[in-house]
Amino acid sequence: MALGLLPGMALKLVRRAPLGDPVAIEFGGQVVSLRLAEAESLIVDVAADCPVQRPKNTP
Amino acid sequence: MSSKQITVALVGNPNTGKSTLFNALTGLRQKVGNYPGVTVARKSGRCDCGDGLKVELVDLPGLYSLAAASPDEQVVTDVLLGSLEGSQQPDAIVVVLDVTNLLRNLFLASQLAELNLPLALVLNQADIAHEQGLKIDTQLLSQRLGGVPVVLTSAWKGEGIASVRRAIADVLNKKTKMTKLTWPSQVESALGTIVQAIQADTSQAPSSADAQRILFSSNAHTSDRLGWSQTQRELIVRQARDQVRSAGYNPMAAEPLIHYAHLRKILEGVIAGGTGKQGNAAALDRVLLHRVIGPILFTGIMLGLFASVFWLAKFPMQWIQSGVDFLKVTIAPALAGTPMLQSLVTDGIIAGVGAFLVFLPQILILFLFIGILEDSGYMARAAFIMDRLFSWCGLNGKSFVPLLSGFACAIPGLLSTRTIEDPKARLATAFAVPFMSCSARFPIYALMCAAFIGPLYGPGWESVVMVGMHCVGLLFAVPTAFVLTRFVLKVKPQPFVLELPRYQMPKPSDVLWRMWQNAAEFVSKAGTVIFAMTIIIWALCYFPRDAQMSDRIKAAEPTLSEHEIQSRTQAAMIEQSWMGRFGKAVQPVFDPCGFDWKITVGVLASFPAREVIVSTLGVTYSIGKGAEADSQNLRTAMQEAKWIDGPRKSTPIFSLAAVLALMVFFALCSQCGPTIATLAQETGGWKWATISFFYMTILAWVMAVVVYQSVIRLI
Amino acid sequence: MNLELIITAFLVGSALGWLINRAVKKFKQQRAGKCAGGCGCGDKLKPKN
Repeated sequence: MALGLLPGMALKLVRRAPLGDPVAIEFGGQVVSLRLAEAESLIVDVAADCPVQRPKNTP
Repeated sequence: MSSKQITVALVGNPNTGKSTLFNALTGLRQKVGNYPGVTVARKSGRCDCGDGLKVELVDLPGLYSLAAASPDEQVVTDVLLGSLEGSQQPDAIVVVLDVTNLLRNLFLASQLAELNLPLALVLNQADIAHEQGLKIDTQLLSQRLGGVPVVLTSAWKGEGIASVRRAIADVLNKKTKMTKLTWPSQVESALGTIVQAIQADTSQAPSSADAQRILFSSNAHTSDRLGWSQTQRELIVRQARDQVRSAGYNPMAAEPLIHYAHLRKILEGVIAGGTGKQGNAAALDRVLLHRVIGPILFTGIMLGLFASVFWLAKFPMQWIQSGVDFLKVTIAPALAGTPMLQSLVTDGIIAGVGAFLVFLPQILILFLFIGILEDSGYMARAAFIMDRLFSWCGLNGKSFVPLLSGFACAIPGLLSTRTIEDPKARLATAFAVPFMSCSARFPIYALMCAAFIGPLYGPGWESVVMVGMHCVGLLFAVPTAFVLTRFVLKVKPQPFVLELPRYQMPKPSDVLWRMWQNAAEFVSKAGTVIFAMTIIIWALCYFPRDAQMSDRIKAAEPTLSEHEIQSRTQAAMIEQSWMGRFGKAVQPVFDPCGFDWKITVGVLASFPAREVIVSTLGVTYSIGKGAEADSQNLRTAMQEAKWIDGPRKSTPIFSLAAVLALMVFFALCSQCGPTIATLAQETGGWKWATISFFYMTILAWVMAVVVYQSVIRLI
Repeated sequence: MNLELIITAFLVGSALGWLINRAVKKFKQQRAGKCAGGCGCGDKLKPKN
């Protein structure tokens, strides 16, 4: 969260690592690598092309 | 001239070009020291801010938030809070921000505002912003933040540096502080609760910043430091957090949420324009992180790195070698009257230190390439690709950098394990780092390959073996880490978050400067430790010396030629020296590996620093050279070395089997003393360091025996 | 006792003394938890600078 991944933010799944894990997520103008386990904890509403999400508690 | 040094801290997110700015501000006047009591290095430099104002600029490691995620980051926070024992709080802070990602970068600044220190903001990467069509109203931003200087710079291009200097002077004079945000009332009272409780308990009121750390962080570091009693804390902190909850915030998420909301308002109207982000990164990542191409390119890059180190360095190495030989030949006659000193200087010092210095070009090139990979942003991608592999053995992609660093030198590799949050993953990584063939082992591989593999099997095989030896370490590191994490430590998977920064062109001056710093350190090691070691090893090989030796041999075997007498004398002198006696005593242990006593001695003597083996061999073979002394070169001496007695008599000592066994031994054996010491330091005790020492040394011996015994039967 | 021997003994002795001194210092520093240094820590490959 310190990186700025806040509730209500739009994020985009950019790619997966060659071995499938981790994944690269783009939000707020930056690209961050996240393991699947963590990514799965993000609650995402995939609406049309504008996802809205509520992140888990820990940063 | 005030007697107290003015210190200004340079803080910022990672990947903001902070180091480039630091270099630009301090030039060559930098030094690396340490913070007392912790093992984070303190990088500082002199910065001239005009009007005779000279400040000490301290470059702190990049971090995203004062809520430290690792012990390393905790040290940074402590330094800024002034709570690190023996370290003063800085007089001012300069926050370096990536202007293309202002919101996120300002989060840290906003936290720093709570420290009540004079502060200046440097918006770096202005060149990129310009490319993206971004326009920042620095005046407005400065106004909104209480008048703190807001300077736009492009450290890479060297623009705006003068304004930074002025801003520092300005801020120190006027003591301008950044406006703090206003906490919601419930949070304010929650903080108050904590402050009061601590005051009652320790009779010292903590700062608001400290209270925030306690309220928002999940570690007990600050509470411990303030001496807040355990029993009290749990209750009070829970109370305080409940207060925060009543405001509608999850206490663990409150800090970023509140800061960001505040910052969004601040930034309204400040930024204009701007295209989509990471323009180049997206395109490049499509190739570099491609599912198939990615790993292939990665492997290619890594192989290329080692191949270049090997090939590009060949010529400079030859020059250095010639220089060393020339020196020997020139000085020897001058000392002809004092054979003891002559031997000390030529066979001892010059031969020994020379053998070590010869590898400087390779070290330089290695550090150069790793520096480029880091600065360009590729390293993060490498961690991204490798993470899956690492997480399988309980490590994570972040282990990649310490492990890769280990190829240069295990010690920085061990120190950089501190960015790994999970202590067990850290321990596992730290245990694996020594397996990475550090640059100190490079000389022995290079020497062996150049002397024995290359001439007999060609340059192709030479490279293969070189690369292969580095892989040997890796080969054993993986199962070791696996067993360690799965069975011994029982590690659970942990979060792994890593920013993939924008790609950028590494700034040549930065990379070269770092390379120079590393080289200077390598050379000073040669000038000091190695120098002293070679003198001692020389002495051990020279004394005791029987002046009547050659006469005695002549008397015993009158039929020998002059030449033979000389050779025999030399051999006998070595054997009866302290070193010789010790080596011979221990040699049976190493006999199954195919080592003779000189090699054994080299192995033993290189404990303080592995490079010493080359110097030692330089000394033992230099002194023990036959009468045909034109070949001062160690290589030749070794090529011609033969077993004097025993079952292998008259066969070359350095047979393929022995050469491979020696290299394998070196690849796996416990690293130098300083590494063990650092390992002990990093793992908080001698237990793991001792285990590492014995495990690796025994493993090395076993594998050396296996290699030797199988190769002589197969080839 | 010739001069040569004396000079040599001096050189060897100082080398030995220096190394021992250094080892002891490092050991003490390590016990105090300080950076045992001499390894370029800080300017080499610190990730995320």
